[in-house]
Amino acid sequence: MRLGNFLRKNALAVIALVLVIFPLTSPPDYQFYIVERSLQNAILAIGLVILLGYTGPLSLGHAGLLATGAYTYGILATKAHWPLWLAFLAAPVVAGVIGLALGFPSLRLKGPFLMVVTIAFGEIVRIVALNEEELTGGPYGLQGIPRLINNDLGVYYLMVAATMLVAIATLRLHRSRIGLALLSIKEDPLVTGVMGVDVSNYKVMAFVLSAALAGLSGAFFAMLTRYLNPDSFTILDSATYLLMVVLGGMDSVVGAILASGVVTALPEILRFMERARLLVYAIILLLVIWGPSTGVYKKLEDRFGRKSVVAPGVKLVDRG
Amino acid sequence: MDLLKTTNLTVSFGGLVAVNGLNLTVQKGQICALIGPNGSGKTTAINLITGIYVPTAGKVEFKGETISGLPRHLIVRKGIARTFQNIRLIGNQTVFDNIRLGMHIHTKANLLGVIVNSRAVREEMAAVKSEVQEIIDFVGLSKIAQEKTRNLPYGKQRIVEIGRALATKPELLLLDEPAAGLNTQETLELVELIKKIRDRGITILLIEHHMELVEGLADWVFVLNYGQKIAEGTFKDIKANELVKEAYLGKRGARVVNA
Amino acid sequence: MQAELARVPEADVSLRMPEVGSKGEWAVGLAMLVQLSLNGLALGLLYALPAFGIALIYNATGLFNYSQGDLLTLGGYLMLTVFGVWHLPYPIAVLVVLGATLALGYAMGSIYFFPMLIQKFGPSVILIGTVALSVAIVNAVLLLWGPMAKSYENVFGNKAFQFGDMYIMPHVFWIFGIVAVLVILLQYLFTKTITGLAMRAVAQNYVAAQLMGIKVNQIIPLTIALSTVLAAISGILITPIQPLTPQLGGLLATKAFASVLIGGMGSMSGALVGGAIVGISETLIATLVTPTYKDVFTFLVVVSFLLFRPGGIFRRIEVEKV
Repeated sequence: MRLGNFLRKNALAVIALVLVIFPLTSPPDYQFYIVERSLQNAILAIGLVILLGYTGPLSLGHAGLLATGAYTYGILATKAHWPLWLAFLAAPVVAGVIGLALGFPSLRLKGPFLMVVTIAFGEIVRIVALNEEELTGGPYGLQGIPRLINNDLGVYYLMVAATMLVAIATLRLHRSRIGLALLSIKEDPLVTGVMGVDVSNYKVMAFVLSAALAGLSGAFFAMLTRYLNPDSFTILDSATYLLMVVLGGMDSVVGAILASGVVTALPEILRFMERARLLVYAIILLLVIWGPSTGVYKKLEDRFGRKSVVAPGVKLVDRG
Repeated sequence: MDLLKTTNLTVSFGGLVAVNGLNLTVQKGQICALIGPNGSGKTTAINLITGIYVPTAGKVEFKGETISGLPRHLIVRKGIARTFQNIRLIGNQTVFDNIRLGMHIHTKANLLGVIVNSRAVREEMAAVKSEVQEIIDFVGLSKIAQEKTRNLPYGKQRIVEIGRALATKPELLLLDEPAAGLNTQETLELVELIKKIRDRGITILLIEHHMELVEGLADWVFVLNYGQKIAEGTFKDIKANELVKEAYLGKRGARVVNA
Repeated sequence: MQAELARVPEADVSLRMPEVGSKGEWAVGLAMLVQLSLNGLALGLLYALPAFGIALIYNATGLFNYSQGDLLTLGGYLMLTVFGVWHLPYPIAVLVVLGATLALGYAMGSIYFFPMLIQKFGPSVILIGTVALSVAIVNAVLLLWGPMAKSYENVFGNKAFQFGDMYIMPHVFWIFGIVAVLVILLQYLFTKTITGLAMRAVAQNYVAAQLMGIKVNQIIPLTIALSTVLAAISGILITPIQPLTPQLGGLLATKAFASVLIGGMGSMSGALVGGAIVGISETLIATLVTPTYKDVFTFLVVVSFLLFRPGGIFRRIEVEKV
């Protein structure tokens, strides 16, 4: 189990190495695209790890935040003709500000009720994108979005760097006093408050961080597809992102990265099924949840020698 | 010096007056006990002091400063820490991290510092580590510091809660039935620990049903019934008080005991 | 996925604001307003049925079933096949569809919800599952019935009743009547039958109910079956108002959630009042203000209710216990 142990301790470095080498193997286009999309999804999934995994609130509106980031970059780049790097920075900022507004309901609402608010938010974004044709192109989409670095490899390595930086920052957050406060809020907000943590502040902060990461992911999404359409930001997409987090073991950054790879590849692998593709995809997702969904990565970790006193599945139990 | 003073402290929940016109004065350096039959409002009083409930009327003063109405996370910063009757630890975290949570108000690392892992943040983390370790040694949990608290026996969990409260460096420690569910051996250890805490200069207000424990520890006792204070004094005075006997045993019971 | 939602065909009734001063036109305006309100009420009652189902499941399990709206769509499409294609007599077709959805709901309850609940998976995980379920149903419908909007013969007749300046379609009255009968039946179920009482017990306190010997492993699937049937009834009745599309459910689910959040999780009457409010205000706004953003408006109403009146109109929130 030596190798397993090594992989576990240096998981992030190993992933980074694989990602850096990957283009040198000159993979076919569709493989390259899947890995690119996985990276872009991973950034959003890490944001959800901070929100759902660490802090607890469930958001089914992150596709809306992804759309916010993507359209912010797309519109500023194509219609407002901002310098691209400025448009790129604006994406997480705008999404973060909206995350701030979304964070406040989370202070008063719990579980499924908060979820309804996030669904409503996601739908509002989609309806606005669909109807404000002047800005978004409506159902015809927003086309010809330029990239920050105008070649495939440049964008790819930019995303590898961004993903790794986000992952490292999140791991640092996890072990800090802030991370401990967030994790404690998830289990028992009342006690966490009594221990001196300003629970409201931290909850809103988790929303803002995760929204900003969704916005960043959105900017990359715009650069990858170079075309935006409201159909890419549905509740299924939101649920899929949540699934990456659950599959990755709820509060594991590395798990979320690996899971976003698997979940991103799945619909592409199913492409041959044509019209039945989404049906089969949804059924697979359902089976994954319904089966012993203990998080694949956590399971691997347990197998590779880490003592776990907690029974599988317990991780998934959350309060309220 | 009056460390804690409540004046006419009152709270009602939809017509039910849980605490009614409560006046308590806790002197610095003492161990005080809050006793009374079940449902007499003891825990509610502590919840009012720590900001979990907002009083309907009256106020709480700490070191001469009014603290009632402050949010709970600011009250602990003033120097009041507590434990809970039905233990509330962060079960998925280790003993070490539960106690580290208590250090939250004495640390400053902000988001930016954490993300760039600045030197100040690293130094703070090292300092926190040694302080937490010190508390773990003080309460005697060194052997199980890396265990998740959900896997600990009841008695140990109570001690972790006390350790977590101590990590906030309180001047006043509120213990809500610390001996509930402990066996004799554990209760004895608890008494020693409470004395050790007092010797550190920390004032203690505890809710307790074990009268031997109250007798052995408390310098001053408050008795509550139906949300009101019916007596206060040394344990000896209280023991002789007719009202207290009635509260615990009812009028007839009190007569039988006196006969 | 649900691109067409925002462009669902609008009610073909338009209302010009009458000019001030002419008495006759005021009367026309008033009649139009009443007519719109009645139409909105009928629509709202159809939101109320799945809404009550949502409340039933929430009370029994603490969960929201996101696929509730798609079960409604499924009910509509089954009716399309059984009645519209196979031409079974209407009452028999209804019974066939209700039987099928009852079985489907019970299966969902005993295969998915109940096992997930007793294995203590977090509500968030179970919820994500119901979103997947919703997507699965939508795509199954797409495969089986195709993407085009579909409708079948309106059994309640196409000739509007005229009351002065008002024209009311017969199905509006039928919906009022059917929902009234349903309410009486449900009332009977919950107060007079052992099964109904057991459902209420489980809804109030799951653990205590179990300790009292109630077979929770049957009552929870039954609760989910009942709410599926309620959704299906709504799906059967909705075709005269809106044509069926595979994505219909997503939007209706949100309206149903809106109704139950406005009316409160507590009772059938809460769901009915909530549904009425959503249905009427939506119909009025679509006609009088803007059809494009009528759903945005509904969402905003829901969000403000959640924030400022979290227990719905009828309920107060409880104090947290320590």
